[in-house]
Amino acid sequence: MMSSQHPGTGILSAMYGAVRALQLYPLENEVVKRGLVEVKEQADSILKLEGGLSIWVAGNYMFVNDLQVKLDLHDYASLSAFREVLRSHGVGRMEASPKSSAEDWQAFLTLIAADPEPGQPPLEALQAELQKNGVSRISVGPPSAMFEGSDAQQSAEAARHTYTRSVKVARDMMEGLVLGKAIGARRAERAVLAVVDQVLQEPATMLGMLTLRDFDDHSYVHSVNVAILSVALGDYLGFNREQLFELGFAALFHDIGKVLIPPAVLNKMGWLNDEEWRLVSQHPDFGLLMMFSVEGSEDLPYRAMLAVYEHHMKPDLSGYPRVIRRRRQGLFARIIALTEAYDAAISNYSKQFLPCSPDEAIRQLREAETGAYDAVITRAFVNMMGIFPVATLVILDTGEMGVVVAPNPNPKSLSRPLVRIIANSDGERVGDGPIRDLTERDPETNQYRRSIARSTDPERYGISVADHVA
Amino acid sequence: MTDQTSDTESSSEFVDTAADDELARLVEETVNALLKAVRSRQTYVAGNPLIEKFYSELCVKLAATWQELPDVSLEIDEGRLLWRDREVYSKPVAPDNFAFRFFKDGIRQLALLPGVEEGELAEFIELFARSRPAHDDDLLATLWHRDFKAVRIDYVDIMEDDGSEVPRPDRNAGAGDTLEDMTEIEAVLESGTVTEEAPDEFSDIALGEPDLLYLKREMEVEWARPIVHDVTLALLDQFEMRDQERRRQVVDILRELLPRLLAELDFSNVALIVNELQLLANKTGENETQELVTSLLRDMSEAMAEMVSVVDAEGLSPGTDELAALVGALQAEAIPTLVRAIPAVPNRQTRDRLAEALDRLVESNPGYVVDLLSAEDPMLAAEAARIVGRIGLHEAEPYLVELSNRPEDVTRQAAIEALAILGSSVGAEALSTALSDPGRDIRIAAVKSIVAVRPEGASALLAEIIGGSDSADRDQGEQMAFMRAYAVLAGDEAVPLLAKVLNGRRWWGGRRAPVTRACAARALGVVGSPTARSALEKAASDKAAPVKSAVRVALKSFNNDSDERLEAAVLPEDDERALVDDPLDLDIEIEDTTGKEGSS
Ligand SMILES: [Fe+2]
Ligand SMILES: [Fe+2]
Repeated sequence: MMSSQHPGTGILSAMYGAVRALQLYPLENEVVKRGLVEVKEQADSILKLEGGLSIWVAGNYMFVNDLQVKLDLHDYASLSAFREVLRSHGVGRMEASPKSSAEDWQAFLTLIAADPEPGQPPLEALQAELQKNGVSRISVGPPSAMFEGSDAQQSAEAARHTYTRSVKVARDMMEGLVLGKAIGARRAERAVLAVVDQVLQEPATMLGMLTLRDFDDHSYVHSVNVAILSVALGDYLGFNREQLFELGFAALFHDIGKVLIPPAVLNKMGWLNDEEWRLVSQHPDFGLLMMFSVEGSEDLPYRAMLAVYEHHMKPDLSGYPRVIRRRRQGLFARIIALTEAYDAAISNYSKQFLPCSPDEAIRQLREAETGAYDAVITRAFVNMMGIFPVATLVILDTGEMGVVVAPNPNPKSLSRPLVRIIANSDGERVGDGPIRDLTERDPETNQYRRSIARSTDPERYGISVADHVA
Repeated sequence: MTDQTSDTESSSEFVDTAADDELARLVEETVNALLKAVRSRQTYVAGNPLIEKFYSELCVKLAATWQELPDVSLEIDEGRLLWRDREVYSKPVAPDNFAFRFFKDGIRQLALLPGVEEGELAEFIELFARSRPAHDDDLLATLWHRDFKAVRIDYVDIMEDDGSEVPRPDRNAGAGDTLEDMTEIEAVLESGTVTEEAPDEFSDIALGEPDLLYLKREMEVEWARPIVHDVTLALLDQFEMRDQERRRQVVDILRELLPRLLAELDFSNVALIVNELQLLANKTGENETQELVTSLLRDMSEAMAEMVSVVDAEGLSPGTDELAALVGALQAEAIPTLVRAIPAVPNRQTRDRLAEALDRLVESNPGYVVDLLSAEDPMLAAEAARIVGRIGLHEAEPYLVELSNRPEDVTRQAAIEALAILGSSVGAEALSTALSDPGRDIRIAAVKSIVAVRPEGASALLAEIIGGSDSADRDQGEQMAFMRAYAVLAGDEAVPLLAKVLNGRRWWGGRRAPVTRACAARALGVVGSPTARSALEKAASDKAAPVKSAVRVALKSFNNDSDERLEAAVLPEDDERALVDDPLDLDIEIEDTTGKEGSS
């Protein structure tokens, strides 16, 4: 039977429920017993249907049998807590065979419900315990596998393909508009749905695309970047796929009104005079009006129009355009305001400011004056991106240099992402080195093995960060 | 990781060719059943039993398949479908090739999962059947948005390639090189390890329970947002706060948007727009802005009038305020639509408001309704004639006269009635002519009108008709109308002729038909003079019941004062209808009543 919920949500919730019960009560307790039965039932229904059960933890995301499980706000707390339980044991992957018994599940869940022994690598300890308890039909593995292998290479290429094509679509659309052509909704639709799928499948890879600097015309790149960031944030907030599509579509168009502003004004060095500012500050107005010429779809993209119109309004409506009739800055516009600020900060679009590193951009958002952005959405964004977002080039306290490839999902370890090493402490480049989890501790001293000492500027070292993200 | 998972599982890894061939046949049959179901859906209109038949057969096949396979997963080649590298469908590549339809949109895999037959399958077939390759419908986008759970697709990016290189990631970028600049790294190594950050360092960005609730609510608000309304408000803001150029742009957009909104029955936003625009135009006091708004409303009037009157029949009428706004914004261009539509509007409130609007519009734009008098549609021309009469539009008289000559009864009648109301000499001749019109209702209308207009020579004309030999061919209602009219117009001078009709004998000694005589009796009552009375009294004991009864009624009316009598003659609506409908019964009843009264 098909349920409207993602089939993976059930097993994850059940496992977490059982783990919580085991942490609170003894084995004989009714709650525990019920929890274990629930897990067995959920597991069996998947095993029966699909012949296997595998759970992956990758960055912020969880997959059940290769399907990403949506953490919507409803399940957010429990599922992310469960993800944390697995991570605390160093588990990135677990698999159960169709023969797994109730005893196997009971043993496995009891083991992960307990805190890992300090002083030894948690995953190896867990594997040893499983073996000792005779649990052979449930197995666990490390997290990094998700990011290795030929699949990663393939997905990186797919991501680049989608990214490049989307930039092209954005460029064609905007250039067409200058020539007075209508906006063809179909191509834009294709581009956006590919972006949504890529972000859902390989969020880190897509976020890594933000650092691609191989394009001349930055306004199209900006549109696509804001679409990627917005879709990723929407996903984090629990939007469904169709909602992500709408958001991505809106984000792709958010600055479309800028095509009516002479490049000389847009790219001007130094402050704009009144007349120039009057023009630039009308790009949301232009955008709204232009969106009416979207052709090829039955419905007008009303929600996207609103996002375009409101993206500079600010939550307190102190921005532009001025509001006469009752209005509230919409959720889409608030998301886009934030993601576009981030993208602008890390990019060299404006000749006036130097781009800053991703972690610096995050810091600026955290410190932004109240009222500029929606405070809660800002927090959600920072949680999603981490203190050191994907594609940040970092120097570790070991002297190694690395690129952040995934944030740490534990809100308490936001500054400890997964980092791919690209140079050893002697300054020797190693190509795609191993991925290190910065929450890893030295069993002897219980100290973190590696910590980020600082972030740095890839240009200084001639490094193309995007090469190493996925 | 190694584990000793079951041996049966690992054996399934080996390909059992013979068994697979068997299964491939099953898949092929399922695909054929799917094709038949799709084709029947494309060929027959919904509800045709064949659609149901092929669909059921497909479900049977699927049920059999689920016994053997966990899913039906098909690779899509240009014109072929493959299952585990075996061809299960192959046709020459053509626009209607089943596989190609998917292939051309980039879909490379199609999988049906158990449970698909519980609803999604029918919808999938429907979507596929409805997508039109000739219209370049994007099957991928359609299926993507639908997001089926048990129909899975995999696709490739088929966006057109312009030859530009997609930059490839370089996995080995820089391998073997040494960083030239070591200053940062050395500084880090000197400063030693990083101490663990305090746990509350991130408290400013922690997402607590209230935050999650806030986000949840924000999303609910967003999905429930009245997006069309908010876009409308943005357009109005733009109209209000920017220059003339912007106002023109907004109006251009509204020219496209308003018909859309009307078609979606979104009366509230249409009302909002037309109201606000008129207010804003008045507020600016600029001619240019006012003209801009008026021109928009002119362009929209027909559609607005149309929608309001059309949807009323379906019970989807706008609310009172919306109706007022819409109707208030109507311009003269709505007149033809209103004239045509109003009579058919079932809702009283809507009809009245529309009629008011019509009167307002016609008064200031009489030309529109005069034009309509020559409309080809007889109903429309007739309705226009009625309006012309109602608002007393004298300049329309020549057109009404023209109208009174048209072949359709409905237009002639309406024209005659309107001319009567206008009551001018221009129409008198047309009225006189209409007394001999082939249409009975038109003759009656004409005779009534004659009473109102009293054209010169009318009573002579009536006398001629009443005395004429063919008058007995006319039914009682018509005879009554003519004689009454004659009585009113000629007064005492009518008595000789009426008396002759009532009491006279023909040259062969016979009397006129009782019905005719009864009418004459009633008409004499209308005259109400002593000579009329004596003529009536002569027939007081007539043998013919209708005559006797009519005489009684007429004599009774002598007790009423003459004004009342005249009024009854000019507006004999109820009485007359009764006469026409069932004249004899009525008379008998009157006789009974009067009989009782007489005996008491
Ligand atoms: Fe903008
Ligand atoms: Fe922007």
